[in-house]
Amino acid sequence: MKDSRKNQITSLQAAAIVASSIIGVGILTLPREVAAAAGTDGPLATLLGGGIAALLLLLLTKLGLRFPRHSLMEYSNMILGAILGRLLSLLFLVYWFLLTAILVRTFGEMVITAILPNTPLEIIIGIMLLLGAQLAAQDIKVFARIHEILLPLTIIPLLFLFLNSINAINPLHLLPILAFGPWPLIKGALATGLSFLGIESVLMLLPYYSKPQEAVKSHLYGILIPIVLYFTIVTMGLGTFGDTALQYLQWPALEQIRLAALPSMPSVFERLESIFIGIWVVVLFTSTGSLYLMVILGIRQLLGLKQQKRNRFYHYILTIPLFFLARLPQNVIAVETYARVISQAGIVLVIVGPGLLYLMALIRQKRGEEG
Amino acid sequence: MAQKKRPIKLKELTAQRKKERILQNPPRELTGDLNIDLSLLDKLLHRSADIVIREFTLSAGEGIGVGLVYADALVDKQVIDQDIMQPLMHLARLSHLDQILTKDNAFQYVEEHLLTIGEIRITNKLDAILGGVLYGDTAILLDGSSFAILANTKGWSMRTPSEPNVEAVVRGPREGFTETLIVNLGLIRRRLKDPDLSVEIMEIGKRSKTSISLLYVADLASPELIRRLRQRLKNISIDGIVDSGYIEQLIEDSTISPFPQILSTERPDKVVANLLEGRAAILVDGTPFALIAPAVWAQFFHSPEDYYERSHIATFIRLIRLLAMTFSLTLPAIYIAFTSFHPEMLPTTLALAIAAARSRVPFSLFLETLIMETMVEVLREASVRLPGPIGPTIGIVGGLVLGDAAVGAGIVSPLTVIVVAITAIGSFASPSYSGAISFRILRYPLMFLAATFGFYGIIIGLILIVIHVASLHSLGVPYLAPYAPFHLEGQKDAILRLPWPYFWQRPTEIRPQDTERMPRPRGKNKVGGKPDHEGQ
Repeated sequence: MKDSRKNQITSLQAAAIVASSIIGVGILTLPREVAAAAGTDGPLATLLGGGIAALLLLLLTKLGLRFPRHSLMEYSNMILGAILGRLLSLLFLVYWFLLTAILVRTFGEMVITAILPNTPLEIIIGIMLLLGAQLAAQDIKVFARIHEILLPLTIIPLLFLFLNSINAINPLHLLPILAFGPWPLIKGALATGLSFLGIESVLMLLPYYSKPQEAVKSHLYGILIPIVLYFTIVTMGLGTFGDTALQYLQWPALEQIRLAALPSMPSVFERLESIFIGIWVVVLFTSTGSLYLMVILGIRQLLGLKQQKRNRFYHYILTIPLFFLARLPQNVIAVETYARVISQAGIVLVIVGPGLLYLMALIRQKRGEEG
Repeated sequence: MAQKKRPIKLKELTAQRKKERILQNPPRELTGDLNIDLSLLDKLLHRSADIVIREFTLSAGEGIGVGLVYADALVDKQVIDQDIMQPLMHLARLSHLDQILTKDNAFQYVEEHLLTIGEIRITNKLDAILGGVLYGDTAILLDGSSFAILANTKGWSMRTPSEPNVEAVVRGPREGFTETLIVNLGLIRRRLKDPDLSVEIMEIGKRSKTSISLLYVADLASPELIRRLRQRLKNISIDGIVDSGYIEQLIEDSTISPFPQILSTERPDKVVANLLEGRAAILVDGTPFALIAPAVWAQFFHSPEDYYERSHIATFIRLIRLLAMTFSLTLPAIYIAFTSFHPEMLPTTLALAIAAARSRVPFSLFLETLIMETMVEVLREASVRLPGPIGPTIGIVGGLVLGDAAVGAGIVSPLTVIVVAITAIGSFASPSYSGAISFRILRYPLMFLAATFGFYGIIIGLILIVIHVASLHSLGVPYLAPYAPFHLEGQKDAILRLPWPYFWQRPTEIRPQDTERMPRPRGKNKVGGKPDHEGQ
């Protein structure tokens, strides 16, 4: 089993997986959350938040590199012992599970509000879950390839769409900077933290890298992409709407795309939100697929199941509990609340869990064998 | 058997009995008795009308019987007359013999001194003799010898190499493969005079016994690839191979995929270019289409002409082709999605124009588009099947007259006709017919998805296609290489086509033994390096 793990993910693919696992729902809500927390310091706060996330990613990578052929589920047992280790793994698993459900639900809410008002929510959710399951059911190397090819196909049009509204920016909306001291900046940086969740995917995927020694470099490249994207989105949103208006928009990014017509060819497409949502579907698909794979890998390794052949049937069974879980919240407000609680718990888990593991590994001098 | 009774000698009787016994229970080898052997062959060939069996006597020696067996339609009769019959019947008598020919030494003398034919084989296996005769050889049997000479007298009527029909180019060689394996091999050899070009011949098909040759450059192609390909070819167990399409489907990695994982071409220059990249080619007797493996998706929008024309125009045309192929896949779906789900995305004037044009149309947009798409497919099929001069006429009648009349009658809206026409034209722009087929067929599910979920449906469909394509392999090579897994050096010949001096490296995803086709440019010692490939 150990040998089948090697050489599945190239360094470039690792960067792509990091980037596309991070970018998800955040695109839509980030400007509002940052504006609420940091006001006009939003863009700076985003950069700061990205920097913190990059440092955290570095910690996760270091931890993973101590055990280059094991995943979180395995080395937590080795470091913390069978019971505590299992408990930590289980916490991660539950977190990923809940996050998948809430991610899909948020997606469903937006699709229904924005483009398909008459379609039942269940269908949108169900299809997305099945797509995610389909992605997770592929071999790890195929999974990596799909991320690799979809990332440029989504990021470049996204950046283009957002930069498209550059004419709508009022520079005065971006000022003042740091007028209220460092606190709004720090609060804003913490608020962006939610959007940088997804970096924990490296905990599960590191053992599959073909060149673990390049992991640090490729992870940093990987997280640079969401930082640039988020910075653009926040700056554009803030510049267009101003920090006060931005706080009251449900999905500021969508509103912004709605505002902007293509200046170069206004007579071809008038409103680009359908294209944006199309790309956003792909973005969400990659994050859902990543999370789904985490859950699958987690369950498999926690239960000690052997890896089976392609198109494993039981991967699709998991969509059923996820489906009902995603239907649970009553309305958009409830979805937002649940999402916030889960993400905040996630942040704590991602910081405390690996931090603890790394510390214990240092103290107890545990180290996995080299690949 | 005989009607009239006549006295039979005991010797004749035993000979007759022996012959009957052998014919009842055919052995695997020749017996050495000419009479029996010829009857045996005649029986095994079911006394077919096109098999000629000729008996005569060697003109020198003590009257040794000679039998010729050949298939009338497959041989060059002039060769048989001049190089077999004439020496044996006539010249043998004139030659200065230093010994008297007997049944014992005649065979060797005939083989060494009389037959003026280049390629001969000697065998005593009946299977081999039958196989040879059915492939245009002439079997020469001598009385008293249990061996036969198979002389190559192949000479059936064949097509001479003509310009390829399907893969036409503006600039580039005009020769295309024919149906004859040996001619096709010649077309390749003539372009690639490399002693390392290895040609492995094998016979596939229990009944058709089709000759198939596996070509590769021995010190270029990855041994693993060749081993795998050879194994897959050997694993084929089928009664007959009629076209290379059989082989393609029998050896490819995923047969249920709509995407072809093996390239087929009728251009020898394309085969040679691919052999030089370290790929392998499979030629099948009886078909003008060679197979090239492994193939990656990018090759299906490449044309050999790209490499002959200037690189700027080649890159531009590749982009155009990609655009055309994207149209042929998605345009009807996008049209349906925008018009029936997201009319707000269209400019107001255009939306109004569409609405006005559609106000007279009785069908839903999806049905209208589906009908028109199906009609185009019918039209295309009809014009392909019709004989030469009539085909284009049908195209004009169907396309122009019917389309115009349908719009005039208010059955379809003009915009639908435009969309359908662009889609059809787009699918013709692909240089590979089999590559275009996959897009042509996937268009319909996408239209259904667009009619159900609008733009969201199209994205779902495209995601599923990407998942599927990314999971495909062609003999272990990822189908989406060099995009995923990404390889920088490979981008020089993917969507872009850089000038030839930049192509110093062969495509590394197929793991050629020698990765450089020209000297490494200076300063390139580290940058190219070993590519970061996935493990197999």
